[in-house]
Amino acid sequence: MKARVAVKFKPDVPDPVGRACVQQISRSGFSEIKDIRVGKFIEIELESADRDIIASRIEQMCAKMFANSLIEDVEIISVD
Amino acid sequence: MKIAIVSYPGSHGVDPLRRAVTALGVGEVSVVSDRTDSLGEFDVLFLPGGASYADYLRPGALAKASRISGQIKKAVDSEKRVIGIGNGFQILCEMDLLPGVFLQNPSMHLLAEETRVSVANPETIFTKGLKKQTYQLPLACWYGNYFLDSGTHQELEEEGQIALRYCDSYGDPIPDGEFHNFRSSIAGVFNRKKTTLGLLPHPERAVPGVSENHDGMEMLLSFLGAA
Repeated sequence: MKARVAVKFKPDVPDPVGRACVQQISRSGFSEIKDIRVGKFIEIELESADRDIIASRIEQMCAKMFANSLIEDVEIISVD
Repeated sequence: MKIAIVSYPGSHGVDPLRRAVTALGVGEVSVVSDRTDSLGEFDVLFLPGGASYADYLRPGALAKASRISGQIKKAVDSEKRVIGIGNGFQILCEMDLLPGVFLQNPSMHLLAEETRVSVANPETIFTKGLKKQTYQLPLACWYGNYFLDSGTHQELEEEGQIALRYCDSYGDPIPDGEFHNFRSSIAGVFNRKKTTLGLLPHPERAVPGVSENHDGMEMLLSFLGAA
C-alpha cells in the first residue's frame, strides 16, 4: 500500500521559499497570486495491508521524522 | 582529557574542529562515525558543523535516526559535557536534547560572515573560563533562524539557559528579529542542567593557522574546561 503525506509550515511560521516563489512567479505573468506556502509531499510504500495500522504508523513516522511539531503540520492525504 | 567528535555523512566541520581542538593540546581527539554503537571513552563530546545528511527534511532531522544517537542521548542524560556547533546544535534540537528548531534564513542567502556574540551566562562549566564579554566568531549557515515558542523563550531567559547572543560592537544584544531578520538574537543555548551547549557560530574557524582572529581558541578552551 501507499500513503501520501503533506508536511506544511504552521500558519505563523515564516516561509522564505514561498515568499521568493510569490515574487518570481508573479513576475512571470501570474500577478493574481496572493501567497504561496511551500511544503513537502511524501509518498511512502509499506508492506502492511491494514489501513488502520498504516495510518497509525504513518502518524508515528511523521511525529518522529517527517515533521517538527514546533513548526510543521501534517496531513495524511491518502492511504491506498 | 578524551575528546570525541561524531562524524555524519555531510559533516564537513569534522576536520576543522578536529584540527582546532587537537592544536589546543589539552587532550586526545577521536572521530567516531554515526554508524557505530559506541562513542568509546570520552570526557567531552562534540557534534560538528556541516550539513549532516545534506539537511534533508530539516537540518539534523535524519541525523537523529543514526545508530549513535542512543549514546549521544545517554551522554547528555548522564551530564557529560556535550557541545553542538552549527549543524551539531541543529541535531541536538532535533533530538529534543536542546529546545527549538531552525528555519531557513529569511534572506534565502548563505550567511558566511564574522559576527559578534556576547556571553549571556558566564556562570556555567562552558563559559566560566571566558575572559571577555564579547567574541567575534564566523557564522556559516543556510538554516540560521532559530525558532522557539514564546513560552520556551521566556523559560530559557528565566533559567539562564541562553549562552550567547548576537550583539553589536558595544556588546549590546541585537533586538530579536533584527539580526538578519532572525526571529531571535539567541546564538547559543544550554540544556536545563547546563551540561549540554549548542551554538550556531563556529569557534573552530577562529583559531591560529586558520584566521587572524583567535577568539575561537579562547572559547574552545573554556568550553573544554581548560581555560
